[in-house]
Amino acid sequence: MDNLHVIAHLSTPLVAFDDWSPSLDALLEFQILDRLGLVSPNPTIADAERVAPIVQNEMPLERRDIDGEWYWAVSSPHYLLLGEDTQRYRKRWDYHDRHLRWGKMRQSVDTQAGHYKSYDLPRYERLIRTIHWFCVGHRETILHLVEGITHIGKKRSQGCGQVARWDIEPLEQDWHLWRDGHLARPMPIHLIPPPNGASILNWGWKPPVFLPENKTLCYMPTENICRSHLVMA
Amino acid sequence: MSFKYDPSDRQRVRFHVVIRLLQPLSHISESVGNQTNLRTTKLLDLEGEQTEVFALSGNSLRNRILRRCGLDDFLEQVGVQVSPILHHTLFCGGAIDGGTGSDLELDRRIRQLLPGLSVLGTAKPKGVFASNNAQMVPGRICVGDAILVCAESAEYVYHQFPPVLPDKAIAPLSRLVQAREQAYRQRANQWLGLDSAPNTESQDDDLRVLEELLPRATEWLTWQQKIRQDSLKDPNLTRHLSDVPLLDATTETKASKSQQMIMGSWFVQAGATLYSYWSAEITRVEEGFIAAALAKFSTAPYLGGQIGAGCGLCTMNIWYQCENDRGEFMQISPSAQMFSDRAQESYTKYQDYLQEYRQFLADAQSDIRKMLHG
Repeated sequence: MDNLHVIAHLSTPLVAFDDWSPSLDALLEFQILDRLGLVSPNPTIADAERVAPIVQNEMPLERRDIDGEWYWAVSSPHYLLLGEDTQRYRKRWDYHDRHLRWGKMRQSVDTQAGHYKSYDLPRYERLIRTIHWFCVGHRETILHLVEGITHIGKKRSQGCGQVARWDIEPLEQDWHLWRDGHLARPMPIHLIPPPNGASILNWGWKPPVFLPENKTLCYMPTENICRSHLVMA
Repeated sequence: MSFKYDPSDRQRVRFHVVIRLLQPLSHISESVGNQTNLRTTKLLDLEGEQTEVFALSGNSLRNRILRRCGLDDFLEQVGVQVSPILHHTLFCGGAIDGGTGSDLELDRRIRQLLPGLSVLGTAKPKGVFASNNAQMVPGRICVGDAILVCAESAEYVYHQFPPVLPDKAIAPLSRLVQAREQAYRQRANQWLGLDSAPNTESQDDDLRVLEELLPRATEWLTWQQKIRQDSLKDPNLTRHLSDVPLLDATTETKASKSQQMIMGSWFVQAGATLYSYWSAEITRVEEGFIAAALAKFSTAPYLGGQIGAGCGLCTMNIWYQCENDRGEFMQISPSAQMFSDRAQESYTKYQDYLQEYRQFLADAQSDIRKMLHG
C-alpha cells in the first residue's frame, strides 16, 4: 500500500449539499458491490453486514485502527471552488394519457398535493475543475475501480458531476488524516485530539454513511475547500 | 415466467448527441414581468473566467425523448393500458410514499420486464408491481445538458467531442487547453502544498484565432415580441358571440377592460448547434430501447417550448463509443431517420424481446400481467 493522490477531473458542475462529499471510500465500495450485483437500493444493517466481508477483501485502501475503531485510510475531497450556481429541476404529471386505464376511478389527478404532486426544486451546483483525495492504498486496483465511475455527486442522471478522467499519483506524505496540520477527514471526537478551528457534527464517518451505526459526533475538516471565487482556473 | 433475457449483462456505452436547430429554440428558466429568459449554465471560458451559456437541460432531454417517446412506444407495442399510479411511475418518475424496501429480486424483475424503466429509473410507490414496499430503482443512464457550441463552451466541447468544432479550431484549442490545465494544476498544487512546473507560455495568438473562428454565445440569441389581442374587442369576432353586446369604450369598467398581452421572449437562433453527452451502462436490449425511443422521437423531432408557434424543430446526429468500438449510431431529421448497423442490431434485439413479451402477455396466467396491473 502506497501514499496516493487521487484526482478526478470534472467536466460538469458537482451537486453536493455539504463540503465532505463525495467520499472516495464510498465510491469504491459502490463499485465493488455493483460489479457483483450486490448494490442494495436501500441498504439496511443486515445488508451492510452481509456484504462487509466482501468489501473488506476487495477494498484497495488500507484499513487503519485507532483505539479499536477501524476506518479506511482516505481523506475528504479537497478542491478549489471556482463558482456556484442554482439550477432548477421539475416533475409534473404527464398529460399524454392514451395508455391510461382509469377503471372506476374519477378521471382526474391532484397535482397540488399527495402522490401526484408536481415539484420544482433547486439544484445547487459547484463549479470545480478537479477534486483531490489523499489515501493509502493500491494504485492499480483503485484505478481499475474508479475508471468505471463516469459521474459523481447528486443528480448524476441529469449529467451533473461528470468525470472526464481520473489520475492517481504517488505522494511522499500520508495526508489521509492530517494535511499540513489541518484535519483532512471527519473523525469521531473520542479518537483524536481537538484540531484547531474544527467544527463538530453528527456525521457518518465510514460507508454506508447513512446507516445510524456509522454516525457519531465527529470533528469535521474546514480547510479541505478553498472558497476563493476569484481564483482563476 | 422464464425470459432468457439477463438484465445484468451490461456494457458501458457513451453517446455524443449533436443537435442542429432548424427553427428557433425556446427553453426558459424564469420570467421577469412579461419577459422570459433562456436557461443558462455556468462554465469556465477560454480565459478561465466564469461565464453563462445556454443549455437545454439534460432532465428535459431524458423526459422528452427517452421517457415519453420510449415508454409510449413500449406500451403501444405490448398493447397494455396502465393504471394512473403505474402511469405516474413510468412517465413521471414515481414517488416514494411509504417505508422503503431493498428487494434485489424485485429490482431484477423490474429490469427484466421493463427495460425502459431500468434505463431511466423510478421511485416505485408501494403497491405497484405487486410489491407492498416502496423502492428506488436507480436508472442506468446519465443525460447531460445540451450546451450551445460557441466560444465560451469551446473547452467543454473540446474535451467531450472535438469533431463538433471547426477543424481549424482544434490545434489552437489543444494548445490553449493544455496551457490552461497546467496553469490550473499549478494553482491547485500551490494551495495543496505540492510542487509543479510553472507555465510561462503566452496563448494570446491562439485566443485571437479562436475568437475569429467561434461565435460568442450572445451572437446565437434572438429576441421576439408577441402580442395577444382581446377577441371580445374585435367587431369581426364578437359577431360570433350570442347575447353579448359590443363593449362601448366610453362606458368601460375595470371588469370589462381589454384583456391584451404583450410579451418578449429570448430564443436560440436556427442554425445553432448544441452538444449533449450521454453515458449509460446498459444491456443490448436496453440500448435497443434507446434506439426505439429516438426513432419514435424522429416522427416529430421538436425540442423545447413554443413548438406550436414555429419553434424547436431540429436534426440530430448521434455517435457512440463502447470499449474499442465507436462510430455513428443514428441520424434523425424531420423527414427520416437512419440507423447505423450497431443501432439496427440493438433495435432488432429489442424487437425480438418485445415479440417474446407479447407471447407471455397473451398467457393470462403470466406474472407480467400481474406485475403491470399490480
